[in-house]
Amino acid sequence: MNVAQRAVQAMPIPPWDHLFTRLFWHAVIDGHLLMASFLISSVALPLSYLAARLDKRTGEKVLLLAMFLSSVPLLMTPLSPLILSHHLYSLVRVLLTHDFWHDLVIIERISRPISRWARYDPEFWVISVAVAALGVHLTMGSRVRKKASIEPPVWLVRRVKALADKMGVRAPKIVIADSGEPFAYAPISLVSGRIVLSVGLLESLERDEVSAVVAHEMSHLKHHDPLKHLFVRTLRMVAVANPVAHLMEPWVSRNEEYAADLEAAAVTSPHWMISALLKASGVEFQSAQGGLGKTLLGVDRFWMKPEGKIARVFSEHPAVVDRIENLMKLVDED
Amino acid sequence: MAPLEYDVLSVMWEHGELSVARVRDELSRKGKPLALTTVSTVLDRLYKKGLVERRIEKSGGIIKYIYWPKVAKQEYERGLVSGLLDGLLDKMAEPTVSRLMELMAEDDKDREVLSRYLEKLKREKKR
Repeated sequence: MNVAQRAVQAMPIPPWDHLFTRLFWHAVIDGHLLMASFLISSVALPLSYLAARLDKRTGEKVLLLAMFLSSVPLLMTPLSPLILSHHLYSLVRVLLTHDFWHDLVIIERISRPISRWARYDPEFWVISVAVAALGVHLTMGSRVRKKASIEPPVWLVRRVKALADKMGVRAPKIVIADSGEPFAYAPISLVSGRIVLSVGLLESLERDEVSAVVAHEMSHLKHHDPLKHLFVRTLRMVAVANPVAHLMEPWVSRNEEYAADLEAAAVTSPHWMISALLKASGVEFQSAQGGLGKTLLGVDRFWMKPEGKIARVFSEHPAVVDRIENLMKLVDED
Repeated sequence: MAPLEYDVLSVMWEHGELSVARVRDELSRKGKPLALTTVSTVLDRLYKKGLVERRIEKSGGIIKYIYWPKVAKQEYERGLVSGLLDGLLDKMAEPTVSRLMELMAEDDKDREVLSRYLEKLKREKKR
């Protein structure tokens, strides 16, 4: 045995080694992760932050791509960068000792029973959810901060304040996104509530309709829907082989949408909510011509319109027609 | 480019600076009624493609974009035709050239331009 091999033999096994090996085998055995996913999650997020700081438009593109690519591994095993460093640590040991199988067998013997147990380990779940939430918060937060240069109009701030009083919540901060595409969303935020509205949305809807959309998003914030959604999504990603988890996420999400619609309609008006939904889905009443102007391009970012029954089961957003039907209950009650 | 995007761009070339609502009105006048959300989405796409520019205008509590074309109509169309022809000449040079020559031969003026060009090519080759 040479000096290097002896040095490696003498390398202490760090206390965190068990956690890494446990997660590593958990990932390998269950088939949750690929090595590429580790790399993407470790590299994509810092890269996107850098790109966003260099150039706004390129930054946005890289950020969106990074969000998409990194969200999968990030939500599947949020500790992937740590697992990657464990891989590197193991690799150094293996390369120096030239005893690949010996090392692997030891790791496997130690970690196999633990990894089986890890599946039911509350600590694993808590860490997973916390790290995933932090990752998404930072990513979404950065996106919001970048677009915060446009001041919201005074009337909107006043209406948000009035709605917040009516709904018994703290008024969220309104962020205007520099985009012509009409959209609105409440990003996951651990600190304070924020609602993002695009210029395109403000241009396309009447003030009352904008109020209804804001109330809808405020309802999501009031009931902590973004966080709930993140938790269910994490659950789905970790329990990837469980079909119930795949049905649960869209089901929870759809119910959140229906509930938010009803609450928004109650504090504003069902008519405004319905009108906003129709316009946002690309259908607009054109009173001057007395007919319906239908468009080829539906705005589907926040108001997706799945057509078939199967698509509806898996869709996170209910069909506009179902949402309007849900709201019509309130109209009928009037 | 999608036909809808070309329609919107044509309105921009015709009128210069326009708000989303004005673009919608102009399209409606041309018998193409569209929802504001659709026009807004199309203009946003054109902006992302670098074909139109925009600035934000705020007045009386209204925030809106004012769009104007970034590329002239002739420039855009020349680019479009060049792109198409380059693609055709790259993949199917012979049928493309022969078809173009066929079409040009049908018109006396074009035929003259074509024969002059061929003569010029021959002279250059001899040199």
